[in-house]
Amino acid sequence: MTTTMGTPMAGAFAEPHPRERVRGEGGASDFAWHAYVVVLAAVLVVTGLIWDISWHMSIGRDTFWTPAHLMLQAGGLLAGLASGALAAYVTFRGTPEERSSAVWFWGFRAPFGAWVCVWGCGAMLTSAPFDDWWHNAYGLDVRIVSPPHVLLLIGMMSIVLGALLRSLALQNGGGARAARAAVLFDVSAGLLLALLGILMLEWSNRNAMHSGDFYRAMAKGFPLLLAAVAVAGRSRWPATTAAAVYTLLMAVTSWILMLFPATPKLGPIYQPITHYVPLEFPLLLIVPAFVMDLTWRRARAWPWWKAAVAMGAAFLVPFALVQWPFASFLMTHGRNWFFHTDNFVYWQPPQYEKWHFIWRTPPAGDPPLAVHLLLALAYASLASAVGMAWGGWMSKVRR
Amino acid sequence: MRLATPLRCVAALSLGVVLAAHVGSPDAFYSGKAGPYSIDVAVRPPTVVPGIAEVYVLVHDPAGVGHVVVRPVFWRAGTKGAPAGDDAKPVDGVRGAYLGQLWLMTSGAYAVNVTVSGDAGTGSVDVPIAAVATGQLPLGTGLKVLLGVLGMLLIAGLVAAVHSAVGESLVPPGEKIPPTRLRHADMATIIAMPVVGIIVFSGFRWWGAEAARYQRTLYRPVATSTAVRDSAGIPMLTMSITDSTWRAGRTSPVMPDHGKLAHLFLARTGSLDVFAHLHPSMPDRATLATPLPALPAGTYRVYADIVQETGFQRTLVDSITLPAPLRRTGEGRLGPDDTWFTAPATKVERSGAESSLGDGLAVRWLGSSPVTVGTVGVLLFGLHDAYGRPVHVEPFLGMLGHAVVMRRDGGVFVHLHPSGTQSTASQLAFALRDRGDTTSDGRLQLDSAAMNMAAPASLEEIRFPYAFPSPGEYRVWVQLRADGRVRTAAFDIDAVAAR
Repeated sequence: MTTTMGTPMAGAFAEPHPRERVRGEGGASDFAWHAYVVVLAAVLVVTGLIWDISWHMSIGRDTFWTPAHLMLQAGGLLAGLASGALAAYVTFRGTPEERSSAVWFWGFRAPFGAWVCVWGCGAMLTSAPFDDWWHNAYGLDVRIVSPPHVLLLIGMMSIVLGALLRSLALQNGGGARAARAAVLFDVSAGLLLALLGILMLEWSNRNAMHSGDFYRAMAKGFPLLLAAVAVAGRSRWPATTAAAVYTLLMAVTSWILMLFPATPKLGPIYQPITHYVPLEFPLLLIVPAFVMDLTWRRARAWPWWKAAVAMGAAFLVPFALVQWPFASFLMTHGRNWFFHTDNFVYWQPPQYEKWHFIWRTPPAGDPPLAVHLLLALAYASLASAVGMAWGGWMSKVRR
Repeated sequence: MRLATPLRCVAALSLGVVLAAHVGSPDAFYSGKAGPYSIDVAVRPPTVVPGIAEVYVLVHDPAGVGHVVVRPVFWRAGTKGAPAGDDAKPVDGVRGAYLGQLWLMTSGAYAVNVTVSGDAGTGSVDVPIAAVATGQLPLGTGLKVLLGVLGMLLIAGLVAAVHSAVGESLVPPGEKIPPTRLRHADMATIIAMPVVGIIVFSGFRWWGAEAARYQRTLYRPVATSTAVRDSAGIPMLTMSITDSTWRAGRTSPVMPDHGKLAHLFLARTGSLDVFAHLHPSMPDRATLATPLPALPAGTYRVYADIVQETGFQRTLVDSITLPAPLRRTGEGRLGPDDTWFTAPATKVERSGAESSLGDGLAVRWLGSSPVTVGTVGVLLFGLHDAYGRPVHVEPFLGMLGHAVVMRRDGGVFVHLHPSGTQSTASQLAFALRDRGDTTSDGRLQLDSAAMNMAAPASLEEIRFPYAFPSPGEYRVWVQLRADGRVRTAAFDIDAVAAR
């Protein structure tokens, strides 16, 4: 089945129906093992990052050899080495059929996702000496968002993106493995969503969730990825599954980390920490993701601008409707192991604890909430448009 | 810096730049007791904060010593808010020497808590230090080349990835890339190149902005303005802190050290033949004022050591020019502990060089000559009478002696005692805050008597724990009290780089 679109972007979505896709022909030269390996590597990278952030909030002392760093770097190396080995195999030992299912890169051939993993591994490795020098030149992690950290994050995102692309190539190629590849794609997208969620941490404090700034900030990022996943995924509920992976990963790692003892090894210490301090409970992205999946089923036939507004609204409206009351709930009923709002970083002076439970006051002259939400809708629509274009491209990735 | 051997430790200790508590001499030295143990401690604070301090501990009688543990204590959090201590590692080949590392995470006053435990029991001591950013590590050539090569590879890889993303990756396996798609890929690559260039350029601009922001956080002496005016026939020196944050009262107040709110030093530039050690009053929180002795004309460097209630030691730096000798016609007198001295220095060309004090007494340089930069413990003196017998030394301002070390160009200045470079008031402030029962209206109440660290003694040698921070010509003034009078001796010494 081919959809008909009377817009310049029509080609982007002119794809067979998902269920037809997954029953298509398979290929012997698809190197499915590599997709599984790089998705595993992406899991290691993202879990390692979550652990590392928790390590910084609980123990603090940082060396290259912390277990969290080792997990993170192991993920990067696994993806890089597996992809490098695949490139060497395809280039020097591959059959003509295998070579023709890969892309050229500086004289070597490998699937596109493998090259992205190699690049990501290179970026992560480059960031290590850069970050070490940065610490000695400007201080140990004075700012989390520093050039070497951003390079590291870009490297990690590339590993996850590489896993996503490998899954896509398998999914889009059809065949017996396509259904599983679609699941791998959803998992990879969930990992990417977790990375995005971590990037958004600075703007997603719980006490800001009743302010317009929060919704504007969230609308700039999440709809882009969720729309792309909804467009490119071939499972029944791609964005919903990705959001479920994000939710489970963030929640489960928090619950597990809290089981392990940890005491600060840096000072000054203002909180008597005895176990790992986890990240905040995940955002309820699963609700807007579900609505976006539903919306896309209809919107895929609409003109792109209409579809973008629909997807933007499909993100913002349900997100605001569930996150607003959920934030209130967290404020009043979150002090337990499940929602763990009573965990504070060791450097948090006790007198500031209360601010975590007081809604942030908008600055003087701040426009009304409705204006913020309208702006957020505009951002969400724009982000959805970009996401749909990206998803359209992802739908066509074959190698 | 990671130091594994005492030699490297010594080398590291030589890399001073600027310090809050002193000038150009960032390392802190302590010599004294930790419970039953006699120890020397050298702390090299990091040049960036957060950063890692190196702590070198020498236990003089290490028999039976089990562990040496070091902890960083931030003034606001106290020992309760300090992380668990780290074992300092024994240094191979140096009996009783231990080396540890501490992470200093916040700018401000810290104390390095050193705890020694062994058969004789457990004892600990706080060595106050200032954690401030004082320098920036340059990007070495090797690392620059490595990062440059890797960066170019990443940039080239990114551009190539765009070509693949638009081109071959979208072609079904087994098919050849259609010319149209190839053209699109080429076009996308051409567009990607300036885009990647802009991203890289923005990255460099960001880096530059971060470096500029860091430069603004580097520690600088507080801005001051110093003048000498005649007040009813008495020349009065006024040193005003002009820093607006300080004047607005947003800094911790100054507290007395050995009963003095400030220790102010004057040294005539060039010959360095005139030296004064005075103790100004503070008519307000930003002004130091003191009568001056009849100083000869010349340009003087002015250094004022103060201690804030946080325990932060700070040296104010300025200079004044006296166009004519000062004349005193009024009745105002210097304080009983104020001293000044005018005489040439003894050039130290060998150990044992003497500076005569004029009444049969002489101070003898017992350290090595020349001295090596970074070697701890080179400031050794003896006070002898005309027959070479040790003279009874009396405490002066609570200490058995005071030494002032100044590099000829003024770039290094430090005032220290046999107990080390730390302020006793700062040490007490950490102890009192930890006890929690010593504040009144939020202010620390220090007992000056508690700062008297020394009892009269006849000593063969008086030792100031110190290591010269950089090569150069130094003037060292030593002040000792004997027969009820404070005696000042001056020595010139060359510090040479360690080989």
